[in-house]
Amino acid sequence: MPYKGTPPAVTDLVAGNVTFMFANSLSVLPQVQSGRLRALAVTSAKRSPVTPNLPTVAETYPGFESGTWFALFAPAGAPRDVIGRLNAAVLKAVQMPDVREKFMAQGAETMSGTPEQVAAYVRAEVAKWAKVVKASGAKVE
Amino acid sequence: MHPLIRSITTGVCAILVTACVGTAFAQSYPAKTVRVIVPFPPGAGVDITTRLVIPKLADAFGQQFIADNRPGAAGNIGAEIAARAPNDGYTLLAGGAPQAISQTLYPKLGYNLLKDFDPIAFMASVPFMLVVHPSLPVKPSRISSRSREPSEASSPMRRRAAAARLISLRRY
Repeated sequence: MPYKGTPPAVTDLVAGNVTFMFANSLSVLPQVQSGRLRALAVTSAKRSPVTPNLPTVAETYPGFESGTWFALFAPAGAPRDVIGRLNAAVLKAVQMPDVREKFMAQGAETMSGTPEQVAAYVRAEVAKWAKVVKASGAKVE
Repeated sequence: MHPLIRSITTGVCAILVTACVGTAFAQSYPAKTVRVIVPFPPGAGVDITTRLVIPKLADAFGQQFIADNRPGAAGNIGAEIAARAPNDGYTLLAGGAPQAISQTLYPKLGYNLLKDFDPIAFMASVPFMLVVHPSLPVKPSRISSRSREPSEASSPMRRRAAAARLISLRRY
């Protein structure tokens, strides 16, 4: 069932209107911890330190790894100096103990990298998901 | 002064001025509030992530950074707004995997993630969780079972088959 976003889908799952979903852990871990939802597996390569008793999908299907990621972007052609300063500030921010703790508490991990490394990752992700979308035959309404 | 020397001098001055203006811009940045477009509603993963990070940017730069939620079309409406914003560093996009997927999923997309944006920095990677309503009589051990033969069309088997389909996609 397609939803406009994770929050309304989680609401429906908590209400019992849908049977199961794959959701990013940031959006569902609070409900899992409060017992309103039950987690069956996590899609990271290794078990999450937050949910050590929760098996990975890879334990059943070796090699399986999936997830989502978030990065900051600027409209193309932004001043390079500005991008460099923002990159340094974001990397510093995600390494701060309070931010790291909150990320970890919700199953997220911080990532580091130069703007060029992020660009290479984004290109690889677009190529990867292109194959997945084509193989799945998924179409938007 | 010889005309050639004069034109060279003028040229050098122009380059120096341009360089200085560029540096001055970077040093004075941000001189006003920076808007970070979050293309999903409050409470979504990217919203939670962005709202953890941007207060630290505000502290570091001594300037306001605000999250501007522009949800819709699986994160494409906000991304399109950001793609059309001036490229002066005062409008940013909290993007990621959803926009990477949209590049192929949506045949008519109002932006190109690779051409219309300059990536700045990673914020976080987040795994997915397979979650069910607690009334459903399944436990993690059943999903982690190594049995892969969906014999009966029982619902746990269908779930396992659904997981298997996703997994087969991941091999690409």
